[in-house]
Amino acid sequence: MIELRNITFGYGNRPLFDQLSLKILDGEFVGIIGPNGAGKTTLLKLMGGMMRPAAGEVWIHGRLLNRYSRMELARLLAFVPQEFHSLYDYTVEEIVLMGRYAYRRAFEPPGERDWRVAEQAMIRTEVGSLRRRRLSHISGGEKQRVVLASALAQEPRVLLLDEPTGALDLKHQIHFYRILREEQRRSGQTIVTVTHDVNLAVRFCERILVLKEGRIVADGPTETVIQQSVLETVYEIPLTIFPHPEDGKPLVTFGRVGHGR
Amino acid sequence: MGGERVGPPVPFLLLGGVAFVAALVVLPLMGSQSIDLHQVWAHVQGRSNPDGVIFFRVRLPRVLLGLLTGAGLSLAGVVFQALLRNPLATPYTLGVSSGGALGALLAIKLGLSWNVLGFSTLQIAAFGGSLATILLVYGLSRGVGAMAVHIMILAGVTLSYFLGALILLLHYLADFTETQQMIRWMMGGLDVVDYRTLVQVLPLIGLAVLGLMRMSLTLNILSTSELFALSKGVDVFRTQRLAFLYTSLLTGTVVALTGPIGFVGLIIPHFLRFLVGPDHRVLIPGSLLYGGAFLAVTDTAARTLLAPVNLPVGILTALMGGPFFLWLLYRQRNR
Repeated sequence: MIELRNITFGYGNRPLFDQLSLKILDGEFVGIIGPNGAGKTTLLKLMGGMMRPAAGEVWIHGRLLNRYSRMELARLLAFVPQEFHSLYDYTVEEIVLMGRYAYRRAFEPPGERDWRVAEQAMIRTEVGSLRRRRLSHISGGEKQRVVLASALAQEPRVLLLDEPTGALDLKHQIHFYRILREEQRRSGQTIVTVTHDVNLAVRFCERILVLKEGRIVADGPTETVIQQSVLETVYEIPLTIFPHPEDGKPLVTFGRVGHGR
Repeated sequence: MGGERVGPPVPFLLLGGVAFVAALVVLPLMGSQSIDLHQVWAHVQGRSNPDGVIFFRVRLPRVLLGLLTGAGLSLAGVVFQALLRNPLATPYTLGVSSGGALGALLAIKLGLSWNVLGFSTLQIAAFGGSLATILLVYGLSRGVGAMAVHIMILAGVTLSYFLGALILLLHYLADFTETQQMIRWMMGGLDVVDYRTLVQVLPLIGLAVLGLMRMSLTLNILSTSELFALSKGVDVFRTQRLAFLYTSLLTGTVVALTGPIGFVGLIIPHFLRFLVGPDHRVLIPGSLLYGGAFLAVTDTAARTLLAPVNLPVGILTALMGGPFFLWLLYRQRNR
């Protein structure tokens, strides 16, 4: 379980979170949505220990986050950024093996287990055939799956994803989230993903957290949160919600654009 | 499924090793004065002769210094480029050479000529100057947590200009002999060193090299992105601080002995990445071997091409390095 207790955090003189508390249970698939500047990414980074709150506590699996070393944390939590750029052109395999860093020693080559785990991660994310390619020679969608493979190679209990498909086309978005869901069904990780795509969140997340200006506006099972009234307050534009013709799940799109409110 | 696992590129490292050893053995034989190998051998066996003296007293230390300097500067370049994630980063970009030069020129201007533990005041002042500069740049750009890379580069470049002005001021105030000395130092060269100096700096350089080798895996991850490194379990702050310290020691020591020798720290790392990719477990030993051999060869060229004129090697590295680097950039643009 990840628990945030009375978190306060801000950038410079601009406060963002004030006494924010939140619990994420083991095995949940949580989507965080909200407008730009709501604090989605910051919240994710606070959960992952990549930023420290000014006040308040972050507990992970019953232990205070500060009590974990970087290595311990990396064996528990993995993080997938929106976009991964590297000036230096590593191969797919090298990037995936970097996920084993927290399990390895300085001078030793990767061990049998490191290879096996990396191998599996590559197969599950369908990048096995790209292993010898360099990053500059694969597509954006492939690159995100490589970064996911590297995260899976950490054998994490929790996956934190920051708009992992923000720069991908429709097909690769769905592909990426399907892999994520399969992975969760197989290994039961907790998944927390930030996304701008409400419909994607509806499809894959069991629980949705709506954030606005550092406050949690709504939090609960997907069906209860995805309401016209909630989303219109948050995004400040007219929205239309209608059932998907195939399975009746809510589809969210903008309303009468150009006509004002 | 699977496929064979990639091991280290043995031929690449082996070739580097051969180049390094070959440089050590062959280069001292070359020069304006030809040397008879038999005489050298006789010298080893205790029958002293002029050829043996030239080989062991003059040329061998010089080649050794070339190997050491080339290795040190290349390694420092590799690490700085990884730490700053900037292909143009070298210790010199951050003002190290200017700092070292200011130290050395001050020592010349003030006419300091003590000898401390076998090091001249000039060497100590240059070492102090380099180290002080780099620590200042590091201190300026160290934010709350990790360092801000762009600030560091800006600070380094700005400081270089500032120190450059101070250097010009010293030049202006200097008399003729001093100016001569100053200009010569600024050109960078592998002139006379004795074995004692070489042996004395070895622990310092060895410490830095071993320390950095231990960090190869960490440097790989850190050279992609700071956030990525953090999420993989790298203690980013500690790694940066330590790697910075080691490279500063390395460069400071080398600059103190040879003056600023440019471009080695830029060309060799890029050339090697071009050949074998960016893995630091290969790049680090590679940069030591190839960088060392490269500078030793270049220095031999510098002292034989226009013989009996003894060209400072810094001039030659810049003359070769500039066009080579532009060619590399041009190639990359066309890829």
